[in-house]
Amino acid sequence: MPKTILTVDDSASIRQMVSFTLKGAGYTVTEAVDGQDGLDKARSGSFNLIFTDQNMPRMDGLTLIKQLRAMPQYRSVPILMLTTESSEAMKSQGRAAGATGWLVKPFDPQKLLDVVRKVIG
Amino acid sequence: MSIDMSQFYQVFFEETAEHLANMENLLLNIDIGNPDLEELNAIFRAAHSIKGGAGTFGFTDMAEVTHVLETLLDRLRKQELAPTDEMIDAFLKAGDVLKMQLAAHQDEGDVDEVQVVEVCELLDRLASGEASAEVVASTPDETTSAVEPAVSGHRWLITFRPDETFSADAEALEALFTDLAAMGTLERLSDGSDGCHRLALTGELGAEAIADTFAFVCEPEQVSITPDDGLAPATTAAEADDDAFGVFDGAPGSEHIGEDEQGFGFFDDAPGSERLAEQAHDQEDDGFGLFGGSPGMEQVAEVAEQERAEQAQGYGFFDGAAGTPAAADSPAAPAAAGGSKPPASRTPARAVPGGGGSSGGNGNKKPAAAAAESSIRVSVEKVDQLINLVGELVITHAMLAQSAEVLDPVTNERIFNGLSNLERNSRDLQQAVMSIRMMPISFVFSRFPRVVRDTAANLKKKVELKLIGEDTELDKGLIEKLADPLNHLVRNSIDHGIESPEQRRAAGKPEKGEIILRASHQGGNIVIEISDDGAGLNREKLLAKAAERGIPMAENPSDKEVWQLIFAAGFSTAEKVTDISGRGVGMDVVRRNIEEMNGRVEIESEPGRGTRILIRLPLTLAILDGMSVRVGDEIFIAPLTAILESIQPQTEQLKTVSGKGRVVHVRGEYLPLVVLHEVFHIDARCTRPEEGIVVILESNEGKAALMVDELVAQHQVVIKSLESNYRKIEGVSGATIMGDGRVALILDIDALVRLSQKGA
Repeated sequence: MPKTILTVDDSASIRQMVSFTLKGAGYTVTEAVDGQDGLDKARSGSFNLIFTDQNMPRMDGLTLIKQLRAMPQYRSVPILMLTTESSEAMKSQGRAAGATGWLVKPFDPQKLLDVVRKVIG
Repeated sequence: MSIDMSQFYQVFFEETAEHLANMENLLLNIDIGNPDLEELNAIFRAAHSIKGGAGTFGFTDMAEVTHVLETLLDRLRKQELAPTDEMIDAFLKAGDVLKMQLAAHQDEGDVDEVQVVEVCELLDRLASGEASAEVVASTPDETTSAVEPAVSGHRWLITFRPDETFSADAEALEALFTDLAAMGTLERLSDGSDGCHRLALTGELGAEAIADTFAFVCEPEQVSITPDDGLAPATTAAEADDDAFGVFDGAPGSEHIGEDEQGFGFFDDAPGSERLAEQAHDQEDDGFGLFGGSPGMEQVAEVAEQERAEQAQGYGFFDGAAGTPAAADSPAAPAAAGGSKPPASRTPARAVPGGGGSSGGNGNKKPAAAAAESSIRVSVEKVDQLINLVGELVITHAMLAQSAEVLDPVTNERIFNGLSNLERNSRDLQQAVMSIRMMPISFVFSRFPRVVRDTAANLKKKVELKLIGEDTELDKGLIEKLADPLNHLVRNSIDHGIESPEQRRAAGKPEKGEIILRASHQGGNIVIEISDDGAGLNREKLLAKAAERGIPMAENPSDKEVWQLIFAAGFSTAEKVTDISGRGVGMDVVRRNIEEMNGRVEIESEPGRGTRILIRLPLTLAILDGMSVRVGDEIFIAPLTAILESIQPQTEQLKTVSGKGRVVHVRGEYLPLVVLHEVFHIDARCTRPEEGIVVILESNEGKAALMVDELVAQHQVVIKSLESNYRKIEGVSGATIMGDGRVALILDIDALVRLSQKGA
């Protein structure tokens, strides 16, 4: 069964790129347009890996991660922050929220694939 | 695997254009004295999104501009700097530069590099030159004296959200601040009136010491301590480029990437780290990182075990990040696992857990992205073709209906039923197709906040713009043609309508003038209103000017007639010519443009109170509700919206007035008589008005009476352009095909009235 990935980003172009790249590599990808949408989709589906942006309308990435970690089925699912902010402050906030790691934007599709393969195989 | 990024460009272009428009809107609405944090966040988010996309898709020039833009915006939203007019101007300029760059990437123009450099320098200066935070004196709401903070040691930014009982206790608060002040130089960046105290502390001390001080008075979640590195914007990062991953030069965070491996990492101690070293240690790599021990690291470790060889190529994991059930002692509450502090190697305890102070916030970006996915883009030609075909269908139906008239309705009941169904269906179809071409008028209106801002600033006037009814929909063709005339009218209102702040004050009005742009549906029309609360039109001045120019005027003209003078060619009452509204060239063009759209302009004005200009437009340029009238053997169509009433005049109502030709006296008004068969040189059946019918029409030239042989029927007609199929004919705005296949001309009422006045 293909691994499932949820990508949460308010930018349609980034979403499209992530989704296209990962689908091309055989993963099943679901897109969400902001944190709230991501949470709803996570609730109604099940994912092996979640990518989330930080700055989004309605609900930001950190809040989303905290909410997901409070749900039993996502307690130990890898969640990566896909963000332009990679300051130490951001990282420690991510760590505190329960993120598994981060990936800095901009990144290229190959990089994304490498990371995904590393994290969920 | 190589992926062609260009396939994503279109989405990026559209999205960026939307972000830029959104950003401009927000900037124009910002209240400098009392900025809304949520709005600042939304502006920041727009810039941030553009930067992310531009970097990802390789538009480095745009990413560079958004980077400096974002640096300044970030300081604003963190309330380290207060917004100024200069900043807003700089942001708007940056937006313009980005638009220019965006257009260049779409092959629609060139980039003026000088402007790019200028705006970047300006933003840099604003962000760093005025980097010292404004110190708020202990009295709230006074952001007066900007004191240079002591530069020795570290500067820490502290965000403190005490609970209600504590914040109500002024003494305890003061005691806390005294304690903090003892540790270094304390600045209060906000007064805490929103429940949140923002402080900056400079001195030889660490975050732990500050945290300890707060530990006496509050929960760790209520305070966040971050080093203030905003003073040194990230500009130093070397380009970290290894085979597979590149990091943007100077992208935020890339200076850290230099230290870590390159921008990818896992959090140590994150849940999941118990099993393997990979799991337990922070891992960092170019642009990516995992937190050792964070939730999810278990899986990562499993994968890593299987693929050791690959793993060696370079990612980093953080030691002991939160998240792996085993590493964190409290697997049930990973969010709280931040308490298990990672070996403070790389992360010098920058934020206390839970301090989501700088998180993005929720903007007002509409769920446009979601909506976009359920829409398709179609070229305008395809839609126009569809509209043409529907037009043909309407004509075909009319022909069929006319042919069927000779049939016996009883024996041919089914044919008649079919015809009436066909009529209903084609009308529905027509409406549905027309609605495809409909766009909200906000497409035109949205440019005006900027136009008003720039024009008012140019003229040193204070003007506020109100937009009402932006959702009103009208035909795309009309929207495009409306932009120029509206632009002219609005600028004219600011230039000639709104007085200078001094004059306004003297007249007992608020200094800030108001311009309202309003759109609404009225019957089958769209009405667009441009009103200002300025000085109003000056009747005497206009009349004097008309006399000077030799424009013929009636002896005691109505206000309406006088106001229409401003549309006369070469007419300007401005005392001095400005570059804003020129030399009176333009207003006549405005009216001509609107008449080309079958629209009408009305003016209402009251001295000292302001001027209101109403533009009435048909809903669409493709279909017209018309009245067919017969003159001799010819059928003409008069637009229904222009018709007031029809009468059969008595001989005593007809008079000849010198200078005005023949007039009809209707209920106290003398209306010029336009004799259609004379204008078009047709042999009419009725040559005397009292034998025929006189249709009273409302036109831009005032009311007029149109003499025809008889009224035939009311139709919806499909407008065919005469110009593109034949040539322009004065007095005729287009043609249509009637049910019997004959061509009927559609009358241009304004031109007809003018034409007959000239002839008289």
